[in-house]
Amino acid sequence: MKKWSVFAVLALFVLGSLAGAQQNLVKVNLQLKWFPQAQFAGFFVAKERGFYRAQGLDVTLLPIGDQSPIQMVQSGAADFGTTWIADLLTARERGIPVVHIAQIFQRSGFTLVALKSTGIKDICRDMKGKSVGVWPSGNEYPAVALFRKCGLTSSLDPRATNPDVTAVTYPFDPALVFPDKVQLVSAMIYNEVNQIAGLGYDESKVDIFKLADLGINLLEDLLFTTERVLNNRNFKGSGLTGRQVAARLIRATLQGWNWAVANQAETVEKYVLPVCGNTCKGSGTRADAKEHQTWQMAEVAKLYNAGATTKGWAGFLVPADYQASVRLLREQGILTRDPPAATVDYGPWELATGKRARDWR
Amino acid sequence: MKGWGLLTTGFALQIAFIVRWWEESEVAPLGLRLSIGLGVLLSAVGLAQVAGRLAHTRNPLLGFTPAALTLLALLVAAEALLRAYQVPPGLVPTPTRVLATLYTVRDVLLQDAYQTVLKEALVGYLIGCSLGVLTAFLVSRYLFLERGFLPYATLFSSIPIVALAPVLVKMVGIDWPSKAAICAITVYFPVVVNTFRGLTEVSPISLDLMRSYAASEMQQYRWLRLPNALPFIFNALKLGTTLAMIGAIVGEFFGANGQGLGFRIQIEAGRFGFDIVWAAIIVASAAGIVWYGLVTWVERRLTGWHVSFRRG
Repeated sequence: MKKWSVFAVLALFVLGSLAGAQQNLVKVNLQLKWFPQAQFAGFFVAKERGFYRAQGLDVTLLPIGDQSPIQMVQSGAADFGTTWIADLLTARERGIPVVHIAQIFQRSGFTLVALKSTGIKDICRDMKGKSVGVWPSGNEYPAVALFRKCGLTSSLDPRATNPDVTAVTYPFDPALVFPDKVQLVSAMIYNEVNQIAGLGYDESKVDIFKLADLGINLLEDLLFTTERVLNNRNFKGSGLTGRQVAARLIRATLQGWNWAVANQAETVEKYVLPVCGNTCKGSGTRADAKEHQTWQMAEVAKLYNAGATTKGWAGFLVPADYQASVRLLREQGILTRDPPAATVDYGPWELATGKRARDWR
Repeated sequence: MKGWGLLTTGFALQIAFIVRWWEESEVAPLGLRLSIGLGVLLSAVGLAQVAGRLAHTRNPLLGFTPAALTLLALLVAAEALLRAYQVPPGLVPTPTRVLATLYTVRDVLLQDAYQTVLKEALVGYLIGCSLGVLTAFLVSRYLFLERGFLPYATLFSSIPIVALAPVLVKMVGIDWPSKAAICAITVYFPVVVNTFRGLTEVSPISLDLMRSYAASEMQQYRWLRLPNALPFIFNALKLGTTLAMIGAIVGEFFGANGQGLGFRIQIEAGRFGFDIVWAAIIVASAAGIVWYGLVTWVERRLTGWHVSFRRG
């Protein structure tokens, strides 16, 4: 009898301290830009290896399909999110107070893919009259910027009655439209390019036009939040300010990314494949999820390990890159004015890394 | 006349604010916000009194006035409140902004409506309705169809077939026929079930009379079953206009060939271009109302004898 009560007290004590530890963690919802895949490897690593927990955060990673992550963060369904620069800046221009807090990928991975047999060589000249497959929800902006730069109107423009380029929207799988319905299809260098290859159109049969090479180097996966979160003095009653939570999130996320890029095989095996279902598969002959994600991890690592990251400034939004993205979007009429200074906040990143943005050379 | 006075004062208060705050980008101070609140309250009370007075009018123009005033009151209140609280256009655009956008993008929206309404919804609707009526005739004629098929038609007419949209877009492709297929399937089942009921729920006395005259099966259908079914069929046809519009617009969310109201709504919602989204919704609603009206008009021409149209 006595033994049991000792056990009971001990068990209660252990449970109590566990519950206490749980309570001390700050609950954070982070909206990813897509379904789970190696594109977000660093986030999965940070969560599963306990980097977030070590920062006192209990992070839930939310997947999303063809909707805008900005909508989720704006509505408060998520506190932070990942998205691209073009939809972030256009949302800001339309009055949504979103703030860029860290830049994960330092290079753009957006491409347009065409069969060699369609004879598209000079993309600006040959794109007129063609159909182009795009993803909606702000993911169409890089393609729109290219159309505009080429002086072409598209059916994405609500003012063009007789568009030069027909933009075709489709659900996820490029096989639905390519190559039957569209001559060019949007493809991320780390995902759809391999899916298209798996369908029997490998590098020998297609041309891959990297938008960065065509002067459309719009920054992609970045971390953002809203002014409401950043200016919160007491984030969800945790006693931490929104800025402190943001800084801890950035610190752990970058730690996760550095680990993922350095341990790619283990990352895919242990942290990507277990969290992803059907959406991690490739297509056709390259359908195997493990192979596809291993390849994706390597491609994504190249986008992470570039620019500022190589100088030890991972997560840093290089001001010149930002200005170039803004200039491009303004030149192509996608933005009508410069975004306000508050659109980018280096504060949380500086707090997370101990570096100062103005020291960047 | 007290109602009109309150209504006018309420509108005047709100419109005065809208004009004054047209160029501002700050949240309005408390005093002005209270004046809007007063305006909304006065116009609502005034509207209630006006509507009460007009409740028994027989003049159709006057009878419509309360509904028109309600719309106007809602729009004015929305405009004033959205401006007072500086709600960003990326969340909720003001009514004036939506109307201005509707005007500037009218050509593209008309093209979109042509694709969505005339190609996708109407073609699908016509196919679905004609197949539905045809099926119902066969089902009413052959008992094995009634036993073997009708239960499924009843079942399917009560589930949201629009959930099939992604499947059909994947099967048929992203061009307009996939949306027409969605519309056809959504309108088909209600038409079958309703037409069947109309064809079979015939008064036994009338049927006995026809038989005692040795009327052929054809004659029974022509002179008894079909006229009896018309009101049922038109109920399904009217319901079908709405279902077809929903099917076409939702179908475009799962892939579209660069045109259509659903395509426009999806693209612009993702870009926070909600002024265009609302403009597209206005166009879709207008098309839906006109279509419904046309079917109602045909119904009155063909079933004017029916008890529901008799004037008291």
